Amino acid sequence: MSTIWTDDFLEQLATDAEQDIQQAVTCIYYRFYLPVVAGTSVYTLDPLVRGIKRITWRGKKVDPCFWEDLHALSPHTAVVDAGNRIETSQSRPFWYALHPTNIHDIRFYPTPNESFDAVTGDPFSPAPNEAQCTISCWRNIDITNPLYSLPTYIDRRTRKAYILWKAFEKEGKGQNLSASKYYAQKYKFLIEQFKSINQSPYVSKRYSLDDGSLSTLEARRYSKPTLPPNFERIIY
Amino acid sequence: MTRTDQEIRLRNYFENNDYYSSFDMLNSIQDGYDEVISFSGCIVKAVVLPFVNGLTYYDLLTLLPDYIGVISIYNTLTNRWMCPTSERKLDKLRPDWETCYGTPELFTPINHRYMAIYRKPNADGYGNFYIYYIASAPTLGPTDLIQIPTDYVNALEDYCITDLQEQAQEFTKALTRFSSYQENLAQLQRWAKSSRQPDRLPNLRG
Repeated sequence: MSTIWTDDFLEQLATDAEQDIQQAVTCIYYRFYLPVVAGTSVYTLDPLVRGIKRITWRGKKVDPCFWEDLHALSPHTAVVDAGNRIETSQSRPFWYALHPTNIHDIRFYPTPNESFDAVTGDPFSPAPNEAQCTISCWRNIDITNPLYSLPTYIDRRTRKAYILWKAFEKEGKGQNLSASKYYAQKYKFLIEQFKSINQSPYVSKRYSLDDGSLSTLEARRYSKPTLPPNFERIIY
Repeated sequence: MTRTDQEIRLRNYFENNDYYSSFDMLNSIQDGYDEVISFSGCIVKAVVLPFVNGLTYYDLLTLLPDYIGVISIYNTLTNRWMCPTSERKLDKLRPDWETCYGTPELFTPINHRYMAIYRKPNADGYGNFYIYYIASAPTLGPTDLIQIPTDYVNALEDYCITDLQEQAQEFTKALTRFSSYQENLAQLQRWAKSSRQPDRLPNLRG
């Protein structure tokens, strides 16, 4: 019996499925300590980091800002590389921005004034004022490590639907467009279901959107009645 | 309904009983059961877990292998329910909330694996909490009850028929049945989230 699809091809699709799933649903949470050197503001993160969620310096949050805003904050500093840089302010970093020259670089401002080795401690149990810079992020899927894999109740079926969608779509022997359409629909359905589970599993996401309280100044406004559209209009 | 009952129903549906082996059918039932339960959240469990000294982020999927999502947490030290919140709210509360020691009062789910608590205990053997969570489906034995309400068990049957037709490369038939599966699953999800709590309905309807 001749083979329709080779193992290599199916493995390639399995990798593509992984990429597609993690693009649709950022779900693998990861925390690590970043080794920091005093006087250096730009650090290259591991390429497995897909998006930064939160950075803390000695346990306190470092706020994100745009690169342009960072220029406005520090007009007297510029960094090209380790040898070509002009940096003046050194203290505890208050802001970070993604560096424009390398998508995996982040830059702190002010420039860190302490060095952290990132060897000891547990990023999931941070201690108060701990001498560490902790990065919480979304990372790539790694099927060799169960901590960074998709949950079993979603992984196999979703991956299978994607592989068969693309395999049946392939030109040549085995092409079946109606089958491909069927698996495409199934894959999209599974991804939507996973999205809804992942959005704060079973505790509504509304808590994350806004606190809905009236405690902040921007959320406060005087109540006013909704009037009919012809209010105070006289038609002669 | 048991797994055997479900298998009989499937055999009644397909004209040629020998076309699908029992092995295929049982695999399909288990697969469908896993999917329907995880997407609808029909199975709720409660267990006792200890607070860990200094731990902010609990890896619940390691602690509870069948964990899907948290519903609520009860602190047995204070005899109070811990309130669900968000990281954004916690950031507003304190910029160093992750490191704060004290009585655990709030919790926030991070993803399908982790949950963070605020504040965290600073002592060994501090105490326990009860966690109520949505669990994934167990492996079914022949006489095990399928834990889906009888009214909505069609969702599982639709899944199995779709899956078996898919294996026979009957994609047009499978697509039709798949639509039915989606509708029945949506009804089951609605039931699981609202209708089984009838006391909520008057509030929602005003």
